[in-house]
Amino acid sequence: MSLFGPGIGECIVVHVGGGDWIIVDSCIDRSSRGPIALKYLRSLGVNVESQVKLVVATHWHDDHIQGLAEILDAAKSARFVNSAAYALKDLMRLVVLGNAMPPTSSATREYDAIVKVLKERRDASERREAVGPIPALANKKILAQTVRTAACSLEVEIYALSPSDGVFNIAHHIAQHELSDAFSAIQHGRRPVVQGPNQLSVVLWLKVGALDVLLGADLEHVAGATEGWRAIVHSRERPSGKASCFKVPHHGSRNADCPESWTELLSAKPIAMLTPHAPSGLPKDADIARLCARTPFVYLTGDPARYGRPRRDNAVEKTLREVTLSRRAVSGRMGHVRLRADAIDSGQEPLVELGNGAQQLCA
Amino acid sequence: MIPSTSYQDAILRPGSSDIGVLFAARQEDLQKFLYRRLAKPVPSGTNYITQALFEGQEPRAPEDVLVRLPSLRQSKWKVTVLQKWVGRVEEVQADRFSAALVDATNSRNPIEQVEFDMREVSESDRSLLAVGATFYWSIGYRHTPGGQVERISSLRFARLPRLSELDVTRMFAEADQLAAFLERD
Repeated sequence: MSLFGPGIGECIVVHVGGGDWIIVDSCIDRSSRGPIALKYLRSLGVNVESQVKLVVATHWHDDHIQGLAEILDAAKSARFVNSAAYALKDLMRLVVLGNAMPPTSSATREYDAIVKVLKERRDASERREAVGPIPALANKKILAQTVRTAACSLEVEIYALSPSDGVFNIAHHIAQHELSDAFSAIQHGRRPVVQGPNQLSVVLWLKVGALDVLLGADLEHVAGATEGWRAIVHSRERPSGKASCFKVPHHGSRNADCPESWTELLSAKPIAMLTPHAPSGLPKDADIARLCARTPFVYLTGDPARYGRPRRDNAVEKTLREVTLSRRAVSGRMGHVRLRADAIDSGQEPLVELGNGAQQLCA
Repeated sequence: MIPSTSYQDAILRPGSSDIGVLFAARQEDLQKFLYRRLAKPVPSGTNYITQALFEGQEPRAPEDVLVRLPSLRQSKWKVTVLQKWVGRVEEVQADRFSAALVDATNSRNPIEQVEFDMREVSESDRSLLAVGATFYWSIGYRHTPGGQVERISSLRFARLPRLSELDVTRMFAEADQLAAFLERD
């Protein structure tokens, strides 16, 4: 499993056995100007067209979906998974409103392009079940397969753990509120900016043989048990087991931290990995300290404090100094945390590899 | 090259494809001008109105009326652009605002978060300054007809089209149709 993060955006690529892969969210690699997932898989010799089985959009925020349409277009065998909390009709309306306000946001542009890919496949008489959008809802199994090799067989199951029923029930009202805001913005000649709450995110549970992995998306922690992390913790229908690997939600922010999730969903001292969100300064020092108090194995794809500012023409640099009050780069190298673990023999120590500025915290 | 030209009640961008401009007929609505996208960019120096009609951009409602704008002439001022960004406003305070800047000159450069003094925004653009607003920032040199060279920084906010309820209703109908198609099993 690989986690990529360039300071704004994240992408997860997972080998689920037997040469099959899934891609969760997407971000752009600046050097190749394309989605990092495609660059990485092609560098491994993976046939993206036939070997990628799922493409998941956890939620429609700019920092999670850049390049997702290009991925889906290339991954001809993949089904597209989307949060059930986004009713297609509402989402499409938001997209057309956003498209009326160029330059469009990444989220709007990507979804518009994804819809075109899906429509092409549906026009070719493919069924929704084979193409998507597959609506992800708490405790819904979105992939199940048995991988057989000469030596053994491997059971693979992927579940959505969110959005919860509680969020699903109020999602239409959330969408109506967003549409109302978007319409109001347009009436005033402004581009719509609201992109929906993190509670609509799709959290995933991956069971690959002996391994359990929890991908936390951007889901937040709230006091009630009908939404957020507590809805997952208190669910009786979620898959059993404890995960030994955790993609920490929402860049390690305090408002996404649910203490119960560490005791109820995760094994002792799990491998925790996360991406920074440089514009908001996440994770903060306090977030890192809190994570390190829970497990010594915390990995971050990059440190935004080390992102270098580009050097430009002297006249441009001089004007920048004169005109701006402050200035900092919020995207940098495409940090890469890669976890390799044996899905058959759970006694084998997992191997964590760090690339392009990724680092272990709590050392 | 002719630079973007500001008129009292319109902005023209020769060489761009989105310069179609129509004005409401009523005097009190003069500020609510509309942009229309043309089939292809209007060549620099052509008569704007003639071109707009030639491309089939007829007024769509009886109350719309075309305002005849002066033909553009080649400017004697030359501008050399060294650097361009597209910015998106993230936060607005009383005396400053912050924005994310995407480098439009070199897309390999990182996104930068920058804070500007409010005084960098011209009075005519102040009403457009809001979270989510898009602006274009250029740095370069201006060469005057007299041979002088000035370093310039130009920050212009995008003027977005205002949609009528009829426009929105039509767009929603298309969106609903597509959603229904994709939702079918």
